[in-house]
Amino acid sequence: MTYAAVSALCALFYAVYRSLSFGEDSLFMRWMFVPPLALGALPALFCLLLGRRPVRWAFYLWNSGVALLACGCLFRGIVEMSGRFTQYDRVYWVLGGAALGAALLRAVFAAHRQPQKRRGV
Amino acid sequence: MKFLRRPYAYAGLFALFLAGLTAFFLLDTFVLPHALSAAATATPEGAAATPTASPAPAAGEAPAATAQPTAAATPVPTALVTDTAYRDGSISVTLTTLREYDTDIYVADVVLSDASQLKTALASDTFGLNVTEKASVMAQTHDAVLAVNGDYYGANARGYVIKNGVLYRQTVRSDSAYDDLAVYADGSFAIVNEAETTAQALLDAGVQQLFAFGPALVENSEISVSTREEVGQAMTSNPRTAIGMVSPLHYVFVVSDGRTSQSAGLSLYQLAQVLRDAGCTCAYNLGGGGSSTMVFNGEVVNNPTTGGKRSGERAVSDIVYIG
Repeated sequence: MTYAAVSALCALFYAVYRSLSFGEDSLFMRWMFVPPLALGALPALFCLLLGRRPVRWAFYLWNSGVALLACGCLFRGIVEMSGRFTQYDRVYWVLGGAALGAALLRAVFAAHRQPQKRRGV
Repeated sequence: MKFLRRPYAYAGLFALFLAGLTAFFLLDTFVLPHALSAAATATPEGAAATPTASPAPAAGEAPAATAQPTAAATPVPTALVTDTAYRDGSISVTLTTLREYDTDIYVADVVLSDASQLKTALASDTFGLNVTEKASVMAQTHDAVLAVNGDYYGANARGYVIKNGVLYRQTVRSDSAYDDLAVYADGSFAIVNEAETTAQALLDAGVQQLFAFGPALVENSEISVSTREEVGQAMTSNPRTAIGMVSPLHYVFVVSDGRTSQSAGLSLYQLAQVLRDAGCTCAYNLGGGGSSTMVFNGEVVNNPTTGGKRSGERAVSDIVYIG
């Protein structure tokens, strides 16, 4: 629900910003709602349907990655709609990708450890 | 690590980190000045010059004075100055105000006797990013008869910058689909593309001024703005600034109001029409929106807007002026 609300908020923000930008537009800001929707709401729904809860640090890192990607879209969009160019957005893509990758590794590691723990009981 | 197990502790810390990171990037992109060098002047006989990498002045300090080549003092001819005209022995400027497309448009027809009278000036006489100054202040500093805002080179870290025969930057602009305007030593204009030539080659070919904004509006007396490729931007009405050439040493400067109840603003196509109708064979779009400013005989003649629809001059990176 939180991710869906964040996605909706991103879309609303873009609509308002676009209306005040005197005709300027940015693909990054237009698609800013996609990271929280595709990487947040949909996986959360998937976990809910499977009845699985994510491991704590995998959950933290995944959320961080999604936030970084969405923030990167926002930053790049603001700069583009002002008519400028930036390379600072690369920081968001790199950190966001790294956080998502670390989250997946943590989840895989946790899933691998669980069956071993059960055998040890 | 136990602290991070508290509800929302990690989220709060990460939110602080993300907010701080973004705030720094935004400040560095839009606000923090990065002075790179003092404005330089080309050496006599048209030899190319590059600014020295002297220590740039810290923010807030006055830039280092640039050594000017001495020249024999020539008496300034008596000038005829009115609200709409300026005439002396070598410069003639006629200012006309049009009302078209629900917009006030200011057209300055300029005839020069020497191409070197078409000049540019940098904010605070300093080359750098986010170094800005009001066009009226720069015009006063340089005793400009007529001045308009330039290409706002300081908004971007890339793109060729040649001002008054001096090469300041030679990295190709990010949006290389847009062409540049080159002004040669004989006063002629040409539309060039940074992807097809180097800045040094342009300098060696005699380019004195290079503007990297765009798009080109008129080429070979024909409107060159494509409504197919630039539908969004071309159709949006905004304050505009443009410069055109009727023939070498005969120029047209156009600034339009916009974003107010009095003036809707011009689309790029409408702006091109104004310049073509003024007789321009080559014309180019400069920085618009809140940057659009025309200063004539020390007075701002248009109604610049800044911060949206609020009236007032915006500080810009550079101006194009006659003087």
